[in-house]
Amino acid sequence: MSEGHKHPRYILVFVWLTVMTLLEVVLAKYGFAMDTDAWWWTTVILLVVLALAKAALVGLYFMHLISERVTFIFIVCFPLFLAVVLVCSLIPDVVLG
Amino acid sequence: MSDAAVAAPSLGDSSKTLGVTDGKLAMWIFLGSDGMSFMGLIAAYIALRAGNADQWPNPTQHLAINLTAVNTFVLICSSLSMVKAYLASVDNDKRGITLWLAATILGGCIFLGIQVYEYTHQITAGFTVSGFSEEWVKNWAAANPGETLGSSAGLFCATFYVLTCFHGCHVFSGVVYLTVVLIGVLRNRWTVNRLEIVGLYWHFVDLVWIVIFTIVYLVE
Repeated sequence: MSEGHKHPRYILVFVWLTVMTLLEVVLAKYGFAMDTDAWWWTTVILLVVLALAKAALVGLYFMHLISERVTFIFIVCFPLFLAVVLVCSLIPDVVLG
Repeated sequence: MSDAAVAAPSLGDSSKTLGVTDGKLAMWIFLGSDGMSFMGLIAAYIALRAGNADQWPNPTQHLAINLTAVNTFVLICSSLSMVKAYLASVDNDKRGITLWLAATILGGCIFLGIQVYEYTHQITAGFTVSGFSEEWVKNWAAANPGETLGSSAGLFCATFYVLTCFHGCHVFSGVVYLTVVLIGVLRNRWTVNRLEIVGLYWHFVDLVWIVIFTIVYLVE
């Protein structure tokens, strides 16, 4: 497999992961300091989006999911779907107490 | 007996299902079920926290965010070194594999060392699995005048240690796994497939930490 000689994407993914981690820390520090509900929700949503983006970068590039078959990706991602169902199924219990 | 009958099987590279080797598929199935375990704990954390939102202590006032951010960076660096080890195996570069695997193991050890330091500091100061000690609360109140400590401190402490320690055990297992693979490399018993499979486990540990870092440490 001669394509192993050039893989600039991995360094780029590493840089993005580092930048997003820094962004998360700064966002958490200043976003929550605003002390309003709107800012709180905005900061939480942005933090979750950044975390999911980082997780996607690791999964797609470092774990090579981007180059796998669609059927395989579906099988791998199915537990993620179940995890989302698990979290969502807890919402009524949390909201209704 | 013919030569074919006594030939040893290759190290797991031959058989393929869905375009991947059986070993890789098995690792993915394991990671899927392990991911469900983590999601169960994370879902429990979210549900407990959301159900006690007014009484939940502010994590940023009790946890070392900057130190943990450094730890997150260490894990990201170790993921990059793991990828480098895999690429070296593709290039049949034994020296490269050895160096990058050793760097990955070092990254895992640094992560664990920082986590042990964090736990030791917290527990000796009164932030234990069962809750905050009186001394911890007194120090916290002095540093945060006018603020109230939530009554769900016990839940916060227990879920924090269970979740982060469960992940720490995975990192420790990963370091042991990587060490076994490194010994195999030094004995010339390695394949690209084997390096890719151990890499999948290590990147999964990194991926889960990314979520834990945000949910447990950063969200106030």
